[in-house]
Formats: sequence, structure tokens, C-alpha cells
Amino acid sequence: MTHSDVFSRVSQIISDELGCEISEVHLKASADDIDGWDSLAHARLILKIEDVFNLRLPGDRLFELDNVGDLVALVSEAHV
Amino acid sequence: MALISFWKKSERDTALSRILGHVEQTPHRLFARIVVNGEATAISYSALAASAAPYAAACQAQGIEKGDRVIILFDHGPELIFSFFGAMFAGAVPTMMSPPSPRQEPGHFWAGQRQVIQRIGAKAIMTTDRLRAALESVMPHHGTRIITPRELPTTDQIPDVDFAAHDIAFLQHSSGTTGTKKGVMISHEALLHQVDAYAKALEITQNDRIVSWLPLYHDMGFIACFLLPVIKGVPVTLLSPFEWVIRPTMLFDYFDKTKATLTWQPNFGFQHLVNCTKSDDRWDLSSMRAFVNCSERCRPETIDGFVSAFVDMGVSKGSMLTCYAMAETVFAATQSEPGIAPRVETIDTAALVDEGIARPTLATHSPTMQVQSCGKKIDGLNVLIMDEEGNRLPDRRIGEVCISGPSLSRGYDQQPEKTEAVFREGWYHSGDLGYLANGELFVTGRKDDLLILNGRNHYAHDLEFCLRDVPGIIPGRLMAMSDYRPEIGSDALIILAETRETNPAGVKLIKKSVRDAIVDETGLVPNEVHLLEPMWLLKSTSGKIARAANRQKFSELQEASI
Repeated sequence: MTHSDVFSRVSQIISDELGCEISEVHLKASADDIDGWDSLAHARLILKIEDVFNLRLPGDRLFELDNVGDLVALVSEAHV
Repeated sequence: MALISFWKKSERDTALSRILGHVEQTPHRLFARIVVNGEATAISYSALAASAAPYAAACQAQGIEKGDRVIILFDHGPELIFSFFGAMFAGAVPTMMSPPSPRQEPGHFWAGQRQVIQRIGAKAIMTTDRLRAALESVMPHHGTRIITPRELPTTDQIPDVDFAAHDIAFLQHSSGTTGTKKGVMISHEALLHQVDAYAKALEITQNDRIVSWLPLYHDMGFIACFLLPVIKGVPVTLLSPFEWVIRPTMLFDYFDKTKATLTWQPNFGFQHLVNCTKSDDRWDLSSMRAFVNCSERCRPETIDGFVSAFVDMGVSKGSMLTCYAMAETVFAATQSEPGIAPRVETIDTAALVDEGIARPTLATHSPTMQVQSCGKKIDGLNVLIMDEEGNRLPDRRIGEVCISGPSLSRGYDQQPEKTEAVFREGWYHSGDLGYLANGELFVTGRKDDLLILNGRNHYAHDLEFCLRDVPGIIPGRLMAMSDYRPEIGSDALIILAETRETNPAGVKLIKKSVRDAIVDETGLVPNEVHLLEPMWLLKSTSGKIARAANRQKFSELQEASI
């Protein structure tokens, strides 16, 4: 799966889970840019991503994500 | 042992005499297991005393005297616990404060801390080297001594300090933006009354095992899952709230692993667990005899959803308990009975709003609301409902929930006006609205503009103050409100603000500035920000934002848009 495929699927999950427009989800978008992206929503997103990609993301790295690009990079890395 | 010589000298019953009793009688007994990054550290009573002793010695070396206020500022981990008891052993009055949230702007955080330090006259802060550096760069010359684990003396001797039951044991700081926090003063006798009466209400014995993810700077985590276990000799497993929020089912891992029997969490925690469980996840939860729902309104649908999601793993309806608690009464005022599902009443909404009466109804043609019982008062406390004039109201009449009895706090440290406003003639006036029926308490709302978000209290006016400098918002024309969202099991934070901006890019920028301002000052993330045209918000004749009318207007707007 290419980086672009991962981004496309991750942004769809973010849009579905948070109810935002998919156009709002870009690589530089952070949790502060999207309504309702708090720590509880973040946990639900991670679970959904793990389910869709059938992987487990490393817990300690989940606190270090600054934006969607970081999340996509982490998923790409774990998906290899 | 010299280590515990002091407690024999005092025959007075205090939290410390009870804890040091465990140290002498069952030194190897497990007090707590603290889990950080998946690694559990087991702490026995003797290890607790030995590891707290250097903090006590450091306090004495720094000239800290009996009654001096000491702030405890650590992340989740063993040092948080050792430093707290070290300060107590030295005779100081410790208070646990929340470390800065990663999303909070450090300048705002430390400015709030400075206000608390100055108000309570804190003589020392026990903290990490990392936070010490931040503290010294943001608050140079603040004059409060700093104690970190690196510079502790080597000793296992606990100082000989004479305590009395009426001495203040600790301050419990309320949540909210740091500048407006109130330090609730709790004496040893109030603490012990609460611990004994609450343990009796829940039939707690030393065969119980508690698991908790709650932060210790919050009264539910601090009393129910930390001081009650250590005083009663009930082993507790403490998970990191930071780690729990991202992997909530770690709570189930530890229920299963430790064959736990008790836990506490706010309503949203139950919903978060349901939301974050995969269909093929399995745990044995049959050892759990009590899941206590407390600190925000208990919702019948959340409780039902939790039971149906986990009934196959051993969760029964009778294990879902409710509690009504606040720091001003140390913790619990009422508790539902173990083993029995608390009652839910369906009441007539019109009778509640128009007549102030909770009238049970079976009618299906009129609007109704479901209210969850919070159980009956715990031993020794009195709970009643009062009207605005302080008259006691009969069963089923809605009024303010008031509490008296030996668990009551002395008031707020260094804040006599705030104390007198709510502690009157031996009663604590909670600001919560509710009713009594056959001795059971039902909570229906709030008298003031307090918002309860994920179990923590925030005043709307306090959040609105965070937005004072946001460009593009018409000054004074904004409102923070909350609205219950079943999908998160808690109230969502909603910001309404008027603007003259109509350009979409400009509107987007203002929304982001609103979010950033709230996050920077409080660490809270607004769920929704709505920008409205000028003069949308209604004001009262005295020029204040009319909260109830605006909430109604917003609700109608939302319904119309659906």
C-alpha cells in the first residue's frame, strides 16, 4: 500500500469518526484544526485505524503525533 | 523499629496513625501496584514508609513546619505517592496538582500555578527535574522551595510530629482553570469519617482489590482509589490516566489479571470503554462486584449499554452502582446499595420545569425524562433539599442539594468569602439541583453555570474569560454551554460567539482562534464552535448573557437544521 493510499484511507476514517469534511483533513492538519478531536476521539480513531489496517500502533508513539501527516507516517511504518 | 516509633506516641486517630499501623502490623502487605508504560511497580507498606521518609527529611531540611502548604506536582508514578506521604509525615499539608497537559500553553499553566502558590502560601513544591526547569524559567524568583527526587537525603526515619484529629490533612484542589481553583481543606477526622462510612456503605473488606485509572488530583481518584485503600489495607492497582484514555481497555486487562472487585469512574468512562472495545475482545470480568459511576450525572442509557456490551464477560446489572460525591464532603454523600441496580425514575418534564416537582409518570403523550438514583446517604451525613430561602423541602420537590455531617470540609483555604458563600450554618450548599424520594437522592441539574465535562467541573464564565482577546468576536457577546451527547456519555463543550465576519476563510480562522484560546488556557478541547450573527445572543435586562434562553434558542436552531 502506498503512502498516498494510507493517507486516503486514514483521512476517510477521520472524516467518518469526527463528522468533518474530508477536505479539512490534510497532512498538516492537527487535532486543534478539527472540531471535536479531543483525546477520547483520538482513542476511537486509533482503534478504528488499527481495525481497518489490521495492525497495532505502538502506544508510546501515539502521544507524539503533531498532525495527520505524523499519523499517516506511523500507520505506513507499522503496516510494512 | 525507629521508623515507626512516632505513631505509638500518639493515641489520636489520624490517617497517619492508621497507615503506620499497617506498616508495623503488616509491613509486607501490598499497598499499591503502579503501572507506567506497561511496567507494574509493587509497593508494600514498609516500602511506602521507607520511600516517603526521604521526602519528609527533605521537607524538614528545607525548614518546612507543621501546617505549611506543600504542592505535589508529579506525573503518574511512584514518586507522586512517596512525595505526598513524605510531606504528610513531615507535618506539612500537601496538595496534589495536575501537571501541565501537553496541549496546554505552558505560560498559561504556570501563571495559574503562580496564583495558587501565592494564595495558599505554598512553602515548597515537590516535582520532577523537568518541571523544575520549566518552573524556574517561567516563574523566576517565585521564592518557593523546590524539592526533586535527585536531591533527597538518604534516610528511612520518619520524623516525630505530633498530629491531632482536627489538624488539616491535605488540600483537595477543585478543577477549572488554575487561577480559579479552590483548595478544599480536609481534616484527619473528616477524612477518617468518610473512609469508614464509605467503606461500610460499599461493604469493603481487605479481600477486595481495586483497579483505577483516575488521576490523583481529582477527588474520586484521590479518596476512593488512593486514600481509602491505603487506610483500609485494600490493595489497589493504579493505571496512568494518560495511558488509559488512549487504550481504555487496559482497565479490563488489569481487572482480569488481578481478579479485581471494585472500580470507580465518571459516566463518560463507561461509554469510552464501550466505544473502544473490538467485537472479538474477551476478558473475564466476573470478579467485579462494583463499578461505581460518579462525578458527573449518571445516565441510565450508558449503564444499560455497558451491561449489555459486557454481560457475556460477567458484568451484571447489580454491579453497576451510583454515587453522589464532592470534595467538600471529602468524597461521597450518597451511595447506591451493593448488588442492587439503582432505581431509575421516569418523571414528567413539564412538572419539573413549571412546578419544581418530580412527578413519576407512565404517560407517553407528554415529554418525560429519566433520572438515575444516586442511592442513600452514607452513615453520619445528612442530605436534604432546600429552597432559595433555606427552607427544607419535602420529598419530590426540586431544590438545592445540601449536606451536613462529620465529613464536611472546613472550607476553602485562604478564601473566606467563597467559603461563606456555600458553607452556611453547618450545611454545604452544593449548587446541584435534585430531589429526595424515600431517602434516595436524584440529581436533575445545576443552579449556576457550572459545566461538568468528562467528570471535571468548569464554570462557563471561566471558559468565556479565556476568549476575551480573540480577534473577530464581538466583545462580551459569547457563551460557553454544554449539551449531553449519548455517544460520548458526557456533556459536550459548545461555544457560541457573535462575529461580524462573513468571509468563510475569516470565519474558519476565528473558529480556530476560539479553539486555541480554550485549549491553551485549560487543556480542554471544545466539541463545537458556532459563530453567530451580531445580536443573536439574548441578554437579560441587567445586560448579562441569558444562559437558559440562549440554550433554548440554540437547541431550537439545531432541531430546525435537522
